[in-house]
Amino acid sequence: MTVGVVDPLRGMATRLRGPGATLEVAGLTGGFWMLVLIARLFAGGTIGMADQGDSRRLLCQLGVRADRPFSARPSSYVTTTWVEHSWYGEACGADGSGEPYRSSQLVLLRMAKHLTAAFDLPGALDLRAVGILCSLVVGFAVAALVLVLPGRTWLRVMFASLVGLLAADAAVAEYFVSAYSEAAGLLGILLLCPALLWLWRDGRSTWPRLICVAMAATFAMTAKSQTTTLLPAILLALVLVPHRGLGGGRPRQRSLREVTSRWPGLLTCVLLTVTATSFLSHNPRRFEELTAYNQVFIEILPKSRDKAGDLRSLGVDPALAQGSGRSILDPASVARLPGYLEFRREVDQAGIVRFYATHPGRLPGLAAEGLRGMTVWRQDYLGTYTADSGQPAGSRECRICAYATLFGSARILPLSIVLLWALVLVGGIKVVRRRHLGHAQRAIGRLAIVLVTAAVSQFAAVMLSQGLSRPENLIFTNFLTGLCVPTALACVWLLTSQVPDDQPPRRRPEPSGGR
Amino acid sequence: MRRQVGLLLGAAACTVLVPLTASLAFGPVPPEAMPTSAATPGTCHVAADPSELAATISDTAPPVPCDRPHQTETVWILQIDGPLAREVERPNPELLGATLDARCNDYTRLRAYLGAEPNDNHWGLSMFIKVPTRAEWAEGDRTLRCEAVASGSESGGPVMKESISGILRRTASARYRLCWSVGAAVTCDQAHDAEALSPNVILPDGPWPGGPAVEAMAADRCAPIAQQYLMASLASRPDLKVAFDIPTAASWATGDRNVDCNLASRTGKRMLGTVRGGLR
Repeated sequence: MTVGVVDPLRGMATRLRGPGATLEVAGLTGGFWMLVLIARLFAGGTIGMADQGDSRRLLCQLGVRADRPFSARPSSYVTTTWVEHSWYGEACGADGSGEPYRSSQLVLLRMAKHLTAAFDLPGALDLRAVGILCSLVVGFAVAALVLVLPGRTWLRVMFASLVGLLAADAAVAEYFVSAYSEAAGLLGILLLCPALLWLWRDGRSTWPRLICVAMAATFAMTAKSQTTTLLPAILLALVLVPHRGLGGGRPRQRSLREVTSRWPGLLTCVLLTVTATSFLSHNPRRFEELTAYNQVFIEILPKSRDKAGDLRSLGVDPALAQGSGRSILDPASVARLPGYLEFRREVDQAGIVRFYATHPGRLPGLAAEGLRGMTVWRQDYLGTYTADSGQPAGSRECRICAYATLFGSARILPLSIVLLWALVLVGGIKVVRRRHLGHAQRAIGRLAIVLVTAAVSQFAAVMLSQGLSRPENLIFTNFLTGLCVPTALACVWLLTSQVPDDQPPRRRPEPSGGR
Repeated sequence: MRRQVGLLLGAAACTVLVPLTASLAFGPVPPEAMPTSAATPGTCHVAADPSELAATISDTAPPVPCDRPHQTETVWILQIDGPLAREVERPNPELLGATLDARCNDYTRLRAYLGAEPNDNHWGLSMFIKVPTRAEWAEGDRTLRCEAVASGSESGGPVMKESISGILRRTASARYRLCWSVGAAVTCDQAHDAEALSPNVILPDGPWPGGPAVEAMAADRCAPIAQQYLMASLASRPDLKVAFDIPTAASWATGDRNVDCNLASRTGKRMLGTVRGGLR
C-alpha cells in the first residue's frame, strides 16, 4: 500500500465541501468576483465615494489628510490621495469634538497605508489600496461560501455569485474606495455568512468555528455604533446548535442539557455582548447628541400635530418647537439657543425609545417612512468619480446596479420588503424543520432566520436613532435584505426539490455487508 | 480529559481573540496643541486642512513664527462669562459660535490691532473663535481666543505670511486693503481698477440737486480724503484720479446720501498693490 502526500488545503476542502464542489471551483469563483470588483472599481477610472469633510475622523488617526485644494468641495469628487499631516487636539475626532472615533475600518486603512508604500502609490495613503483590499475580502468570502454551502457545485456557485453581485452593486462597492467606516461593516456581515454556515454545517459547533464567527462578528459590530445592533441576531446564531462533544446526560435533564451543551456558544455570546457594550460606551457624545437632535427635530416634530406636547413628553421646553425640520447646522437651528442646553442634558437615546413606547401611534408612520427609505439604496449628494475623471461635480456612476434597481422598483409597493422578510423567515424556519435535510442544508434555513433578524433589528435601530437624516443610514439593512435574496432562492430550492442529503444520516443504518 | 483540555483551550483562545479583534478598532489619540489659556495675542497658527479652521472649535496646532506661512493669528484673548460659562460640560459648538462670534467680531478693536488710521479701509479678514477643549473646560478654563483669518483668495487657502499686528502701517498691507476690480471687492494685492478710501462722505440733505452737482460735491469732498490717504497732494500723483460712487436720483429719493471715495488709475491701467502713503 502506498501513502500519497495529502495537500492540507485540499484535505480541508474535502472535509468542508459537499459532493461535486472543489477548492478549485471555490478559488475560481472567488477570484472571478474579486476581479469583477476590481474592474468595476477601477476600469475606466476610479469609482468610490466622496465625503462631506467628515472622512478625517478616521484617517486623521493614521496621520494623513486629504490632498485636495483648500477651497474644494469634498462632496463633489472622491479624493483618493491622502498626504502626511500632523493632527493636534480636537481636530482629530468626531466632528471636531475631539472624541476619538473608533471603527474596525482602521484595520483596512492601516493595511492600505502599508500597501500604498509597498506599491509606491501617491501620497501616504491611497484609498484605491483600500478598494483592492476590499475586493480581496469579497473574493475570499465568495470562495468560502462556495466551500461551505451544501448541494451541487453549480448551485453553490450561483448562490455565492448572487452574493458577489450584491457586493459589486453601486450601493455597496462605492464604500470600498472611501474613508467611511461602512466598508468594514459590510465586509464583516459578508464574512459572517460563510462563517455561520460553517458553524452549523455539522449540526454541532466547534471552537475554531465559533472563533471564526466571533471574529467576523466583532469586526462587523465594531465598524460603527449602528452595527452593534447585529448583536441579537449573532447571539441567536451562536446558540442554535450544541457544541461537539457536549450534551450527554439523562433525558429528564433535557433543558439543562440544552444549556450545558451550548456553553461555548454562550461564553462567546457573553464575550460579544461585553465587546458591543464596551464599544458603544466609547461612542462619541457628539454623535449621540446629533442622533437625538435629528430624531427629534427632523423625524418626530415635523410629522407631529402637537409639537409642543411632544417636547413636553421628552422633558424639554416646548419653545424649541421652532426648530422643527431644521438641521443642526441651519442658522435658525435651536441648537444656537441657550434653551438647547436643556435638550442636550435631558434627551438621549433611551428617552427617544421611551417616547416611541409612550406614543406607539407614531411607529407605523415611522416604519412606512423607513420602508420607503429602503427603496432608495444609494445616497444622492456625494460624487463617486475622481476630480480628474472629466465627469461633472457630484456625478454618480452605475456600473453595476442590479440590487439597487431591484429594490428601487419596490418603491411602488414598499410593503413588499416586509413580505420578502416574512417569506425568507418562514422559508428558513421550514428548511430548519425539514428533518430529512442534512445539517448543512438546514444551515441555510438558519442563515435565513439570522439574516431577517439582523435586517429587522438594524431597521428598527436606525428608525429609532438616526432616522433617515441620511439615506445611507439604511445601508446595512439594505445589504442584509439583499443577502436575503439568494438565501430565499436557496430555501425555495431546498423546499421544492428532492435534494440529496449530503450529510451522514443521524442514525447509522444497520451494516448490510462489506464491499 | 483531552476533550476537556481542548474545550478550555478553545475558550481561552476565544476570550483572547475577541477583545484583540475589537482593540483593532481603536486608534491613537493625537497630542494636544497647546493649552488654550497659554495663548497670547500675536501668536500665529497653521490650519492646513479646512476642518482645522472652521470645523474644530478649539486649538488645532501649536503656534508657529508669524513670518512663516500660517492661516490664523490670535488677535486678542477674552474670558467667556455669563450663563454659558457656568456650564460644567462644554456647550455644543453651534451655541458657542452663536453666543461668542459677536464678541470676536469687534470692528473697532480689529482696526486698532491692524493699526488702521481713519483713512484706511481694511478688508479680507474674518474672525473665528477658539474655546478651551472639552477637558480644559471641565477644569474651569473659560478662555476665548479671537482669531483673524485671511480670506481664501489663493488656491492653496487663506495663507498669511506676516503678523497683522499694525499691518496697515506697513507696505505689506495691500493684502488687507479694499480695492475694486470690475465692480467686485478684492484685496489690493490682486489686480484692480480702484482702491477704496475711508471714511465715506455723506452729502447734505435736500432735494435732488442733479447728477453734475452731486459729482461736483463728491469730487470736492473726496479730494482731501484722497490726499490724506496718499499723504501727498493729488498733483504729485498725475497717474491717479479721485473716483467715486454717488447716489442716483432714485436712491437719493430713498434717502441715500452716501459717496464712496476711491483712487483709480487716470489712464485706466489696472493697478496692483496699494497707493497708501507713509507706509514703512
